[in-house]
Amino acid sequence: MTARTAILLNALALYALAVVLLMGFVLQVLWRELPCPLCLLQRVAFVALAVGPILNIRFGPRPSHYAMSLLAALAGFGISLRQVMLHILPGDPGYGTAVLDLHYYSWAAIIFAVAIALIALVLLFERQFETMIAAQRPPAFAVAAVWLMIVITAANAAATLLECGFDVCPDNPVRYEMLQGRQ
Amino acid sequence: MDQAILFVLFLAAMLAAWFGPRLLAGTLFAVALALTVADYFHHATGALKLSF
Repeated sequence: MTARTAILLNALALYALAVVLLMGFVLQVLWRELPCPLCLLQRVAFVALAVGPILNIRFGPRPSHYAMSLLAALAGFGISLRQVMLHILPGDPGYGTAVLDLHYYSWAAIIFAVAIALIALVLLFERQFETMIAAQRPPAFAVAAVWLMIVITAANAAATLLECGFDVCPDNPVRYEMLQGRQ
Repeated sequence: MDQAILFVLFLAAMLAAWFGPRLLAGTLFAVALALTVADYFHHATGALKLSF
């Protein structure tokens, strides 16, 4: 795998993360389901997962960038597994609406586990680290992916502030604290 | 509020990764990730009703 191929794969990873985060927004806005603190932390971990690919696109692929993504994926896996365990007992309805029979946190646990496996797989291809292409301009496809993630992250920050206000988010949020009185 | 701060910190890490030096991006990422883990432990204090 060349460095250029690796950069394209990193851009694809950013688009995949964007889809996952946008799905969270669909559940939140269209289905009016407010994310709980652990749900928000899983979104934070998805955002954290994006920093490594952005560094790979800007500076060229490096093992340390993949290591950052691995750490973020491990944190996200732990957080989502905790929420799976909270709702694992028979008869528990779970938190929020299930999508394709699984709740967001279950999908998150699967996606973080797949991310860990994929990052380990990509690390096996050492040729990507042999050529330094940091000086070259990244393809427009990759630049668009970076900006998409930046915009989605900013939107998540704004939505979380609207939901929780300047206080700690409640375990079962039912309203946007910053919009209280206007809803 | 705490998660909004985490989003902003990771947003800063992304912007640093795209515009700034690698060291700044890495430092912001490390701080944000450490705070994420700390926030997780703040929200995960209840005992799970499970036995393995």
